[in-house]
Amino acid sequence: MHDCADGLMRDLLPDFVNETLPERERAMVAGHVAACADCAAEIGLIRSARAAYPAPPVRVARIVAALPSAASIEHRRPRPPAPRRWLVAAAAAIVLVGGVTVLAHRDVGRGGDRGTLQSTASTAANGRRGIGSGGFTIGGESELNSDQLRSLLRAIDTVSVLPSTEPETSRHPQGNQLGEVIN
Amino acid sequence: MGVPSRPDDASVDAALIERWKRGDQRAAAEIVDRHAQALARFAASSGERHEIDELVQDTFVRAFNSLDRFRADSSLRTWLFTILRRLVLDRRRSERRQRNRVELEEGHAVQAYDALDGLVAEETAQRVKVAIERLSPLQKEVFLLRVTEGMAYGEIAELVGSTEGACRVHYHNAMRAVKEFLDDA
Repeated sequence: MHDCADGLMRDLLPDFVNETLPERERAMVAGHVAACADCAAEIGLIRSARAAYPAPPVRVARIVAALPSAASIEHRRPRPPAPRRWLVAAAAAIVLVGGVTVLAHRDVGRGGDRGTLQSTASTAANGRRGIGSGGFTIGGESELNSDQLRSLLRAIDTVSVLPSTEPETSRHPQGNQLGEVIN
Repeated sequence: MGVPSRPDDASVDAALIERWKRGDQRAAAEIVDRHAQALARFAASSGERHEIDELVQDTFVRAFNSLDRFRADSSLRTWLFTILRRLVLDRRRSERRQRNRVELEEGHAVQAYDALDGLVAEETAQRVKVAIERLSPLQKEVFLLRVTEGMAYGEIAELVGSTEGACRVHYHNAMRAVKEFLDDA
């Protein structure tokens, strides 16, 4: 028994025997087999193999009777546990406390603005009082007397420009760039 | 070019599964009717001799118990064959353990083989069967799934855990070995 040279056709032979080919391909294979003794012999072999392994009898009704229904499976399927009462109560309490806290914070914020202004005014008054009385507190850490404070303010006035973080191109007094001079 | 499988199979099965999910138990009967014979033949060709009916029933019961979670990544047929194949392997493992405990009587295997041979009437079919039984287990499995069930190589590959190309090679090697055996006999 030889193999047909047409591998594609040989691949289709089991489907031809099992009658699973679309009509167009079935007709194509049938036409080929009619003219090809090797493929005809292979089809005979495939049919013999199928006959050699017959399907044993199966009692379909018995199998169907043993099957569950979709509803029974749905019923058996474990459901997510129902939330417990204490858990619900705890969650409600957290939400309540959280809400109250936010509201209180918001009120404090509004009042806080007023409070800040009041506090600032009070600090300024204290400062005036501090200056007037010869002392001023910075951050509550150290105390400056009036003279020290005046000298500090004068020193601040002398600082006209803060140093830039960007490097600038410097020019040498002779007109060359600094880099050129160094090199 | 891949060998075409039955184009309507998957859609028909999908429709039946949907009907069953909606409570139509007749759809379950249709599913069993469509696949039970092929599963029984596969079990028998895998070497199962006894209680094939129970094996097939067990396959369907397991499949239906998780059918609501079945995703159509593979066809229902391939899925059923996969379940059956696992059951056969489990049964063999269990039998092997049992054999380790109780020594098997010599006559059992011979009797079963003779009884099965009696089912095969035709002489050519008997010779072909002898040739197939000489194949390696994987070659035999691929060959029979292709020949008796008309499964596509892709389906077979999914079932046996191999590749489509490898299954094609197994099939053609098996066919060549069977032919050579028959030519020599």
